[in-house]
Amino acid sequence: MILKLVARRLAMLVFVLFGVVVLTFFISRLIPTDPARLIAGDFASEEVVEQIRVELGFDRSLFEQFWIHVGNLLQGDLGTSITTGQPVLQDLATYAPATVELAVAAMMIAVIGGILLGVLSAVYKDGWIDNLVRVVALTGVSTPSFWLALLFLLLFYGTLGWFPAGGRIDPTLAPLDRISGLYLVDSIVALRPDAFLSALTHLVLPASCLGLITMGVFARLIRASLLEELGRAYIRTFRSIGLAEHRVVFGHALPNALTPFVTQLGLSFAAMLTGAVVTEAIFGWPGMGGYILQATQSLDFPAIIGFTIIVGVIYAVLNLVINIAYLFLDPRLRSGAVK
Amino acid sequence: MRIVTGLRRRSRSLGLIFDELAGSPLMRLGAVLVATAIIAALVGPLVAPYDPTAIDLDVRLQAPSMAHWLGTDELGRDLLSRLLHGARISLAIGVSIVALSASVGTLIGAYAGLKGGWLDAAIMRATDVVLSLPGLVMAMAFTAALGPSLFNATLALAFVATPGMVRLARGQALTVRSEAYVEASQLYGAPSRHILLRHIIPNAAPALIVQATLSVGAIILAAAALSFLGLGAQPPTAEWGAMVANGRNYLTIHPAYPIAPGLAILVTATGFNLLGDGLNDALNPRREGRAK
Amino acid sequence: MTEAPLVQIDELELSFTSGRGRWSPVVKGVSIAVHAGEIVGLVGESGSGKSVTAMSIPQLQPRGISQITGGRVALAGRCTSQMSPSQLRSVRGGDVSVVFQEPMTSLNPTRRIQAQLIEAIAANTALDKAQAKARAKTLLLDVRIRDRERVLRAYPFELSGGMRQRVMLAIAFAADPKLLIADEPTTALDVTVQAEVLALIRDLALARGAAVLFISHDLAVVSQLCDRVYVMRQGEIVEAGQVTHVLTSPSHSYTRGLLDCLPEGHEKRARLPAPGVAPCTGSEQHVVAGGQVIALEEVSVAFTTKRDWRGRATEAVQAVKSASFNVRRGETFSLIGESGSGKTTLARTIMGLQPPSSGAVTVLGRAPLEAARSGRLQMIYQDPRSSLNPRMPVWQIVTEPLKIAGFRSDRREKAKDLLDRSGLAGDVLEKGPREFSGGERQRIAIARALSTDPEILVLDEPTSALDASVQAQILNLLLDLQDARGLTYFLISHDMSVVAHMSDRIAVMRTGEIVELGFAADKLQNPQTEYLQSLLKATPRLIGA
Repeated sequence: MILKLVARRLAMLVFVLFGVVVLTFFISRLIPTDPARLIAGDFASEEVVEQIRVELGFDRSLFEQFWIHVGNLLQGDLGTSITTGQPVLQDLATYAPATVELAVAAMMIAVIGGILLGVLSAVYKDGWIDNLVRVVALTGVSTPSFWLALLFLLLFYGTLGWFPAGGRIDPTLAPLDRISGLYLVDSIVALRPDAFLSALTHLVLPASCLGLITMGVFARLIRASLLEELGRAYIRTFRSIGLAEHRVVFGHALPNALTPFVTQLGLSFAAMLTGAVVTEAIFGWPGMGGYILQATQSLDFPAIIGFTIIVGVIYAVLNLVINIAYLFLDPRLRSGAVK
Repeated sequence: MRIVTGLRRRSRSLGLIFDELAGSPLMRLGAVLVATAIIAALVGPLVAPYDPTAIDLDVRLQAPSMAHWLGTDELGRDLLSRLLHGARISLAIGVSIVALSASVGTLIGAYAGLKGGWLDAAIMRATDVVLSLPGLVMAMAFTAALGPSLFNATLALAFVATPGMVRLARGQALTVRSEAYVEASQLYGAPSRHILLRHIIPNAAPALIVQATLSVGAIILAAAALSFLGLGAQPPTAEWGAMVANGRNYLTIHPAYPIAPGLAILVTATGFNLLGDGLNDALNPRREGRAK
Repeated sequence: MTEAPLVQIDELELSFTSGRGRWSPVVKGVSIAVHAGEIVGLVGESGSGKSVTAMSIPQLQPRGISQITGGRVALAGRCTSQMSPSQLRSVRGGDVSVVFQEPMTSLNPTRRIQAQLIEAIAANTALDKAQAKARAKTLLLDVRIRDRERVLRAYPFELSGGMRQRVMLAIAFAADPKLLIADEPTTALDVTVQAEVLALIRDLALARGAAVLFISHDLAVVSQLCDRVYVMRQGEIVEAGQVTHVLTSPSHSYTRGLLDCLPEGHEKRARLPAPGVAPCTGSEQHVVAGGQVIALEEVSVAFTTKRDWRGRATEAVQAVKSASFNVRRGETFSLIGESGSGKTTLARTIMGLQPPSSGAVTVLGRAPLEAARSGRLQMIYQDPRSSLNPRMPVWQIVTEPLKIAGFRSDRREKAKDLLDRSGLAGDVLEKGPREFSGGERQRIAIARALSTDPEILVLDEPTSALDASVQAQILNLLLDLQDARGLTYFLISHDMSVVAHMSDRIAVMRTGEIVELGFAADKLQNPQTEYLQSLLKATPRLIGA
C-alpha cells in the first residue's frame, strides 16, 4: 500500500518537473530578444551572430531545440552562462552553499519562533499574549524584506555597531578550506573558532531578516491549526478524564496540528531560496541570489532557467519527502482510509 | 453544546455580521489603514505640494522641513509628493493583479472542482508546475525578458498569483459540490452554469474574498520588491519600492528618504492583511457541528 | 435516601455569550440531585440546556463563551465551581467521567487505542506501565470487547461506532469514578448496538456502584434505563420524579406533550398532537389502489474498492444484492435497515444518482434520472441544513426546479403558494435558510419538492435530525399532503415507530439484501426473520405508556 502511494507520488514528481522544463524553455524562447545577438554583443556583425546561432542550435526548429535541451538536462547539463562563460551548474554549485547556509539559518529562526509564538497565541487565545503575537505576526507578514534589511543595518550596524554590514566572513581572516562551503560547518571542521564567530556574526542580520518574515507566516498557521485541533471532540475527552492541560496540548493537539504546517515547510523553503535574492543583494551575501539578479539584468537565460529548474527540483523533492512523511505521521493516510 | 450552535447560527444573520465587523478593533484598524491608502491614491496627487518628477538640483537631499515635509531626494524632488503619487501606483498594481488573478482563478478552479475527472487533474498538475517555480525569480525573468516595466511586472505577478486562487476555488468547489442542495439541483437537471453561478461561487465567495484581500497585501509587497530590484517601475516614476532602492544609498545621512516609502508599503500591506483576517473571522466562523 | 446526595446542583444559573458582551441565560435556576449508585435521566429537546447543566458538574462547560452566574454545583459535598485547576483534574476521571455523543471524533485519530487507554489510566492512578497495560486489558474485557489484542493495536478509524463507544466507556471507567455522565451516548448508533451499549452502561454502573446521569432526548431510552428522571425545557426543570410515574401520569403539560407527540400509542396515520395543531382528528381511510410506479428487477449495486494500475476494478463491495420489488401509486413504502445495510444506496439508485451494476430500475415507466428531471420524482433529504443553499433567499430555493425547467414569471407568487401549503406562512420569502429552525427548513425543502407537482417523493430519514415535537409536525404535513394529492412515498428510516406510523408496506434490508418484504402491519406484528425480530426487540419502548 505504502509502496504504491510512493510510486504514485514519484510519477507525479516526474510529471511536474517535466512541466517545469517545458514552461521555462518556452518562456525563454518566446521572449522578443535574440539570444545570439545578446551573446555576440551589440557591435558584432550579422555573420558572427548567425554563426553563434548555428553553434547554439537556434537555427533548428523549436521542437528539435526542446528535445536537445531535455537531452542535455538529463545529462546534467544546464547550459553555459552567457555572462560568466562557465557551465551554469558549476556556477550554481559555487554560489549555492552561501544561500543554503542563509536559508537554513533563517528557516530555523522561522520554525522555532513560529511554533513558539503560534502555540502561545493559541493557548492564551484572546488574552494579551494572543493579541500581541497576532499583531507581531501580521506585521511580519506585511513588512517589505528589503526595507526591514535597511532598518536592521541602520540600527544594528550603523547605530549599535553589533554586527557587520555585509559579506559572509571577515576578509582579513585566513581563508577557510572549502569542504562543504557552509562556513559554519567548515570552520568547526577546521577547528577555527575565530572563523566560526566571524561567520556567525555575519549571518545573524541577513538570517533574522529573512527568517522573521516567514516566522510571521508560521505563527499564524500554527495558531489557526492548533485552535482548530483544540476545538475537536477528542480534546474534550482527554480533558474530561483529568489529563493535565499541558499534556492535552503538547501530547495530543499539537502533534496533530503540526500536520498542515509540515506541508507549508517545503513551500516556504523554496520561497526562501528566492526571497534570498533581495536579502543577499542588500547584505552583499555572495550567494545564488546575487548571481541570479545579475543574470536577469543581463538576460542570461541559461542561468535563469538553470536556477529555476534547480529550485523546481528542490521544491518537488521536498514535497515528495513531506508527502511520504505524512504516510508515517497519519495512520489514516497510510491505510488509504482518507485521501 | 447545542445551545452554542444555536446562538452562533443566529448570529450569522447579516445585521450581526456587521456588528461583529465593527466589534473587532484590529479589523477596524485595517479598514482605516486601507481607507487611508485609498484616499491617498485618489486625492493624493491632487493635494501633493509639488510635481513628483520636477527636478530641482538646488534642493537636493534636504532633511524634512516646513517646505518639504519629508525632505527631498538626490534630484531635489519632493518626497512627500512622490509618496502620495506612489500610493496610486501600489494600490493600482495590487488591486488590478488580484482582480485579474482572483476572477480568472475562481472561474477555472470552480469549474475544475465541479467537473472533476481529467480536466480537473490536468488543471491541478498545471498549477503544480507553476507553484513549483520560484515565483519571484519567474517574475524577474519575465520582466527582464519583456523589458523592465510596471506593466510587464504586473503581468508577471498575475501569472504567478493565479494558481493559488485556482487551488482555493477548486477546494471550495469540492466542498460545496458535496452538499445535498447541489445534488438536488443536479437532479432537477440544472446545467453546470447554474450550479457554478448559483451554488458554488456564492458559497465559495467568503473564502475567496478573504484570500483576495490578503493577496492584495502580498502583491503590493512583491511588486515593491521587483521595483526595488530595478525590474518594475522605471525612473522617474514615483514607486515606493524604487524609492527605497534609491534612498538606500543615503540611509545614514537622510534616513527619512528610504524609511518613509518602506513604511508606506508596510502600512498599506498591514491594512489589507488586518482587513482580510477580520473578514475571515466574520465570514467564516468556526464550522458548526452537523445536524444531530 | 437519607444520606447526602453524590451530586447536588442548587439553583444553577448559566449564561452564554454571542460575543460583544451580550449574555443570554441558558440555564435558569436548575436543581438536580443524584445519589450514589442511582441512574438518573435528564431529558429535553435541543436547546433545553440539559447538556451544559450536566457538564457543569466536572466544570466542562464550553470555555470563554459560557459562565455560571448563580447557584452551586457540589460533587460529594465539594463545590466544583470553586475548585482550582489541579483539584478539578483530580475530580475529573477520578470522581466523575463523561461519555460523549460523537463516537467518531471522541478519540485522538492518530494514536492507537492502547496508548489512549493507558494515558487515561495513568492520569488517575499510580500504576506503572506494565500494570497500566494489564489494567487496559481488564477494562476492555469489562466493556465486553472480545478481540482485545486487535482493538488495543487499532487506530480509532479502524473500529466501528459501537466499538469506539465501548472504548470510551473503558476510558471513562479507567479509575472507577463515582459518577458517569453519559451525554446522548447512543444517539449516533444503530438500535441493536444501542441496546448493547445501554445494557453495558447499566451493568457497569451496577457492578461498580457508580451513579449515572444519563442525558437524552429519547424518552423511551430513558424509561428503560433510569430510576428517576428530570425533564428540562428552555433552561428550567419542568418535571421530576420516578420514571414510571412521570411517564404514566405526567403532571406538566410539556411532558404530556413530549409523550403525546410520539407516533407510538397513536392510531396509524393519525395526525399527531403537536404545538399549533388541532387535537387528534383520527385518520381518514387510506386506500392504495394504484398501479406500480417504481419497479426494481434484480437490482445490484457494486462499488469498486480497489483498482489495478490501469484503473480496472479488481475488488468491489456489493452494496445492494439483487433487489426486486414494486411500489404502487399512493402508498408509503418504507425501507428499513441499519447503517451500512445498503438502504441509502438503493434510494440513490431509485433517484438515478447511482446507476445499478446490474438489473433494471424504472420509475413511472422511464429511467430514474429522466423521472427526476421531469420533476415527477423528488427527494427530501435528512439534513435540511445541507439540502438548502444558505446563500439563496427562500423564494429562490423553493422555485429553483421551476427556474431550471425554464419557468420564469411569478416565481415569488408561486413560492408563496408552495410555502403556504407546506405550513410556512407569513413574510418569509426574502429570508435566508439560516434564519429558520430545523423543522421550518424541512418545510422549505418539502415546498421545493412540491414545486414540480411530483407523483413520488423519496424521503431519506426526513425527521431523524428533528426533535420529537417537530417530527410530529412534519409527519402530519406529509400525511396531509399524501391524502390531498395522492402522493407516493418511498421512505427510508431506521426509526421503527415512524415506519409503523406511516407505512403501508415495508422492506427490510441487511448487508445489501432484502430479507423481508410485505405489509407493514403484518410484518411488524409477526416478523419472519431473526434480523427483524432483533431490530424490533432492540427498539426502545416507553414503559407504562
